[in-house]
Amino acid sequence: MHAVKALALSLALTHSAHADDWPRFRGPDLDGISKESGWKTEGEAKVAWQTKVGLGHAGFVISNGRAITTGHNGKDTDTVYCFDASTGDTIWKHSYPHPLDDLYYPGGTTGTPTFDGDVVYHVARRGQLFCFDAATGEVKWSKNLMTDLKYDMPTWGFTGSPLVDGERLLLTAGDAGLALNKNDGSVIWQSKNGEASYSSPYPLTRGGRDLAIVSNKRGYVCVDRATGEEMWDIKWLTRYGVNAASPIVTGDLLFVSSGYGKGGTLVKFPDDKATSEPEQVWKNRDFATQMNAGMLVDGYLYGIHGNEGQDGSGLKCFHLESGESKWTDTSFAHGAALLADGKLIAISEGGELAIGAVSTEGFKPTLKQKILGAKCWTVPTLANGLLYCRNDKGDVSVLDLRK
Amino acid sequence: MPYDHPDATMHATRRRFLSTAAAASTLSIAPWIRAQSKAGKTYRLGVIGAGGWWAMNILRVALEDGRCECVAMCDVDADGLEISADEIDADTGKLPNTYNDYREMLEQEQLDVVIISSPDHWHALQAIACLEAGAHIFVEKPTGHTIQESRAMLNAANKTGKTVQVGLHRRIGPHHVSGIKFLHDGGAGEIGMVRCFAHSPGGGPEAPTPNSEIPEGLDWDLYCGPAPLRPFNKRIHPGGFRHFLDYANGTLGDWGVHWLDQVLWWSGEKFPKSVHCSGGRSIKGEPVLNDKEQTTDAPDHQVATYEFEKFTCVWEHRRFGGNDVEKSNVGTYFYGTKGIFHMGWRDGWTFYPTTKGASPVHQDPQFDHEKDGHNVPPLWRDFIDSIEANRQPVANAEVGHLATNMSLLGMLSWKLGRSIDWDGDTEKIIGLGADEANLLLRRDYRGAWQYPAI
Repeated sequence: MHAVKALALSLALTHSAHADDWPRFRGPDLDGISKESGWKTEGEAKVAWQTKVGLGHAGFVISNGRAITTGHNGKDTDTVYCFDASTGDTIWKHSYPHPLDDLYYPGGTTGTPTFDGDVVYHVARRGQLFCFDAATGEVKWSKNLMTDLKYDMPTWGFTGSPLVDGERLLLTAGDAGLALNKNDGSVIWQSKNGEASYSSPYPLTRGGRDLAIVSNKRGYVCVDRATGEEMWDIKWLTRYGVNAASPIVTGDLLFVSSGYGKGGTLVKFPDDKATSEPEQVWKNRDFATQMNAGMLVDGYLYGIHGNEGQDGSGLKCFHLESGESKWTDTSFAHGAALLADGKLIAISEGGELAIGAVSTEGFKPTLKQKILGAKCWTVPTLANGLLYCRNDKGDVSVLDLRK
Repeated sequence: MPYDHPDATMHATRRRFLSTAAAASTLSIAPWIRAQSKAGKTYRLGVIGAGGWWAMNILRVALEDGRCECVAMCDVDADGLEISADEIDADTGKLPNTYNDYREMLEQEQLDVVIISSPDHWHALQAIACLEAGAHIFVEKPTGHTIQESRAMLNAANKTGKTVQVGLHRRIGPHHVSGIKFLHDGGAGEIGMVRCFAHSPGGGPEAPTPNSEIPEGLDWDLYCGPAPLRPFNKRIHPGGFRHFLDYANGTLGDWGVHWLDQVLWWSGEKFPKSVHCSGGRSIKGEPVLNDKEQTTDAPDHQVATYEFEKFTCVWEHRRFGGNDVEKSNVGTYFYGTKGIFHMGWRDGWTFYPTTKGASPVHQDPQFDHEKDGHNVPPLWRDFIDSIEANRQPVANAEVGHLATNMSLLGMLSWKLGRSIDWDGDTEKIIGLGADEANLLLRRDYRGAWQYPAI
């Protein structure tokens, strides 16, 4: 195990100017932006390894030479896979019974696990929360959000990734989140029952208080991370109650956005007090993120706008303060994107990878390559020069972007 | 009570946020071209079931046509209602009044036209209420959940003289019109049998979905209305009612109405002489309904045989095992002496001649709405034109009723587990055991709701 880890690290360090793990959804800074540099942005990317993990949309997280994702077998079982990040060899896997729950999509897992040092956390759609030993896959503890904590399942199941916050594990559950002791799963605080939505808890600090924004069916709620006390909320009603995209926070501005034609709103905190509710700057329907939030660079958001099959869906550049669109590339349809070292890495819904410089003038890829079949809604993960991509059927393709 | 403002539905314990947003926002007004109606008036339009996606599709078509103004919307789901009203406000610059109860809306608004796009078990009752309130209606198919409800709706249409258009857009879609003409012109020769079908791929056992608390803002009692009050379950709402037999009639009561209507249209027949239907849930498994969880209960496959004077009609659906072996998973085959004619959806129509070496004849579809593949816009124009010309529209109450009966007779035979002989003139099942069977032409309503008299 250690040899593998050392090998992966040495390869990464040799070939990348800056290499990083990606231990959680949206990355170390929760902004969808990787700090890796020195990786390949033109020519053709070689496939490092491929595998199949089953149905779903869970992304990859990478830590200490391990790559973890999940999938469903199409019948009755979810599996959490831990691969050797470089070779794709299976280090461990853990299966548990789970229905397909194919509600208006082919079904399968939706949430991305979260690494925390030697452990990894995973929530199943029907609420089974696991704390695994990251090295062995041994279940250190497990709890069920429905049977143990009496929460109703959200329409598409529990999907937000757990957020590790000191000794706490914050989860998107109930009306306004849930905090468990990350070591044993005991309850620190819990919000009342209600329909959770699908974003991951997003931390922020205001007025010296540690806060988190969690989503529910009717909007986004800001709570005190220590106590669960509600500070304020943004009512953000969407068709089907889906608020899935992470908030974007920059300075005293906060942006939330949802799909189904809803769009987003930019709000501003009037002062530094934790309890002060933000005031609306604007709202419009021009940047509607159904699933994956955009990435903010120099005042512009880059990301996927719109829903599957909707006219105008695609990769978009959007000016945050004014709420105006700069450009949209509809060839990406309802795909996914991340950002690293001033480059956009986007995968179209149909499975074509494109890499090119971030620009407010448009997207001109310097690398374009068909890597997977449809549908690719999952954001690829870049870690240590490798790009981990999957589609909804669970075909995984890991590309080697090391020079 | 109408909600005086969408924010009235807000979470009471939380401080209001964006409470002035609706008033303060400067929303652009969509450039609807307002085609003046012949009468020079703009019709006051209301929508029942406005929180649903399909209701909004119809409403947008209506607004694009330009002869109606959306003044009122109604839904038992306050959140869905607010979302829809907000969308119309964004599109038109005018926020419609919103209501929880359609009776309240009809009383307050003096509507000229109403779109009814609620779950199926509501269609007939709401249609009758609208007609009696003096409104013309565009009502989604089916026209009833049981046959006598649908008959009562037809009677109300005849009695009030108001215009009824049923959402059978396949009566007006260009490839349907040209396809039926091809058949009427004898293109497929003499037709002795037809087969309607709708299959979907995949499928598997259905795991029960846990019941949950009634969501805030949802009037579940009024959602269920005259139908049984099930424990609330997310499989039912939003959007899943079609496969719960308390509120709809499964795939036969949905797709079946469209395709069986094509058979009536082609043949000019009004009803079959006898019906036999079998089917079940061999893949999805036994239905579950208890205080903890439930599954859908509609059959995952059905085969119904309808005997007409001059031909046999078969309905077939599977919610599994759909693939490309038969070229198409949906539509109707007309089997004729000159060949086989397929009336399809996205694949248009195709005639496969019997003559060796002869090439198939094909017609692509022309949709007004490519993504959803429908022709609601011409159906809507025909509706308003019919009101203005005082003529019958293409999918009037009788067309909708007879097509709905086809699907409901299939369901009735399936529930009875035997074939039935049907007297379409009196709309009664005849023969041995008719009394028992005729009980299924209606159902008991819940609480104070009254089954409509016929």
